[in-house]
Amino acid sequence: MNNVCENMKDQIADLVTGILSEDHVQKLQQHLDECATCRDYARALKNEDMLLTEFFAVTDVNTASRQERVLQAVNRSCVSKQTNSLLIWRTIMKSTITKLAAAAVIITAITLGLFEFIGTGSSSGVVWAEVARKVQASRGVIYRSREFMPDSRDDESDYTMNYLSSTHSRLDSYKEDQIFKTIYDDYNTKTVILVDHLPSHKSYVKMTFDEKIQQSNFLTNPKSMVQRFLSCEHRELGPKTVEGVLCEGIETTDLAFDRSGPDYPTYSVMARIWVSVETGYPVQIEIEIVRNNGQIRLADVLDQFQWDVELDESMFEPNIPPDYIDISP
Amino acid sequence: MNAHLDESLVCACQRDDKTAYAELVKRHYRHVFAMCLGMLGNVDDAEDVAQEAMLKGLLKIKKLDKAEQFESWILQIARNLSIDFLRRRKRTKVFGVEQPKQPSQRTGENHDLQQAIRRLPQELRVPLTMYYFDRKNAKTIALKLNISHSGACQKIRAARKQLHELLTERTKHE
Repeated sequence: MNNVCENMKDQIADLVTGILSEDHVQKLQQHLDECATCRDYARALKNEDMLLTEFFAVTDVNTASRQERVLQAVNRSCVSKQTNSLLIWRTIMKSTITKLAAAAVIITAITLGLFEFIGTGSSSGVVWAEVARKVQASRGVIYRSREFMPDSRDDESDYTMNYLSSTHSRLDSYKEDQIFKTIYDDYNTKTVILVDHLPSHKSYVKMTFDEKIQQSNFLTNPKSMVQRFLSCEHRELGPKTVEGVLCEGIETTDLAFDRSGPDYPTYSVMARIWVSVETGYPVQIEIEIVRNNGQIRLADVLDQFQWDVELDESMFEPNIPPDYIDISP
Repeated sequence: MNAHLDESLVCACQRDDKTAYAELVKRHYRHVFAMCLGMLGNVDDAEDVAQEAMLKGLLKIKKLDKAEQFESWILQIARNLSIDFLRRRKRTKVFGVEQPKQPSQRTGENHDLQQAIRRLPQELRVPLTMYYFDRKNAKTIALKLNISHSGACQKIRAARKQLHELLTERTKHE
C-alpha cells in the first residue's frame, strides 16, 4: 500500500459505510479496479460492515420488548404519581376527624404540646390554645391550596379547592382555571373516588383507603395542623399582614412535623402558619417538606380559608358524567 | 415536523396528559437505548439506564422550557445517567450483546467484534453504535449528537478504521 492508497483509506471506509459522496465514488472505483491491496482492504471493511449490521440487528431484535417494559414502568410511575399526588394532597391539605379513639390520642398529645407552648410565655397577641380549639370545632372548612416551586413562576390559575366536612372531603383541581380532577373522600365507607376530567381521559377510579392513610389524613388536615405546629418545636414570627389581614405567625423546622413514616424519611421541614389576630382563625399556611434526601419535595400554600361553614352534604355526592369510563382496579 | 409533534406531546404532558408521555417513549426510546448502548457497551446496562432516563424524563418534563427540544434533552439525560453509571461501575463488564437463540456460525466473529467495539474510545463508539442501530443514517446521528453532518461522518469513518485495526491486530496475534 503506497501513499496514494493510504489517502484512499478514508474514502474506502466511507464507501463501505455508505457515506461517501457520489462525486468520489467513481474515482475511487477506478482506483480499486487497479489496486489489489485497496481491493482487499475494501473487502475486509465490507465484511466487517456486514458483521456490524448483523451484530446490531441481533441487538435490535428485542428493542420492541424493551420499549414495552419501559412503557409499563412509565404507566406504573404515572399511577404511582397519581396515588402520590393523592397522598400529598392528603398529607398536606385535607381530611376530617373520623375516629374518636384516634382523636383522643391526638388531643392528648396536643394538650401536652399546648402546655409546652403556653409554658414558654408567649407574647403573641394570638391566643394559640383558643386557635386550636376553634379550628377543631369548625364544622366545615373551605380553602385553596397551591403547589409552589421556588424556581418557577407563581401561577394563580393552577390550584385546588378543598371542601372538608366532618365525614367527607372533596378536592377540585384546576389547571389554567379549567377543572381537570375531582377527588371525593367518604370517611364513613373509607372510599375515595378520583374523577379525571381531561378530555382525553374522561374516567374515574374508585378505591378504598386503609387505616394508615386515614390516620395520616387525620393527623395532617388543616383542622389539626395548628396542634401539629404547637406540639413541635417552633418559634414566633411576630405580626405580619397576610391577604390584607393582620396576623401572627409561628414557624417550625421540626422534622416531627412530617409524619411520613419509615418508607419516606423526612429530610427537612419548613412550615409557617399565619393566624388572624381579629378572628383567631388561620389565614395562610406554608409548608415545604423534603423527603428521601431530596427525591421528594412537597411545597404547598394553603389560603383563602373559610372556617366553620355549613357544607351541604350533596356537594360530596360524586358527580360522574355518564360517558366517563370506570377504570377501577 | 417531528419537533412540532414533540412540542405538542411535551405540552400535553405538562398538562398531566399521561398518554402523551407514552407516545414520546415510543418515538424516542430506540435512540435513547442506542445512546446508552454506545456509552456503556453493554446491552443489559444500556436497557437499565435507558429506562431510568425515560422515567427521569417523565419526572422532570414539567421543567422542560423548550418543548421542541425534547429529543436532545432526553438524550442528554441518557448521556448523563450513563456517565454516572460508568462512574459507579466498579468492575469492567464485557460488551454483552444478546445472542441469537439459534447457534450461529458467526458467534466467534461476533465475540471478536464485541471485544473490538468495547475497545473503541467512547467518542467513536457512541456514533458508531447509533449509526448502525439507526439504520445507517449519518444525518440523524449528527442531529442527535448535536454535531455537524461532516463531523458525524468523520467519527463514523474513524471508528470504522480503528475497528478494522483492532480486528486485524487480533487476527495477527492469533
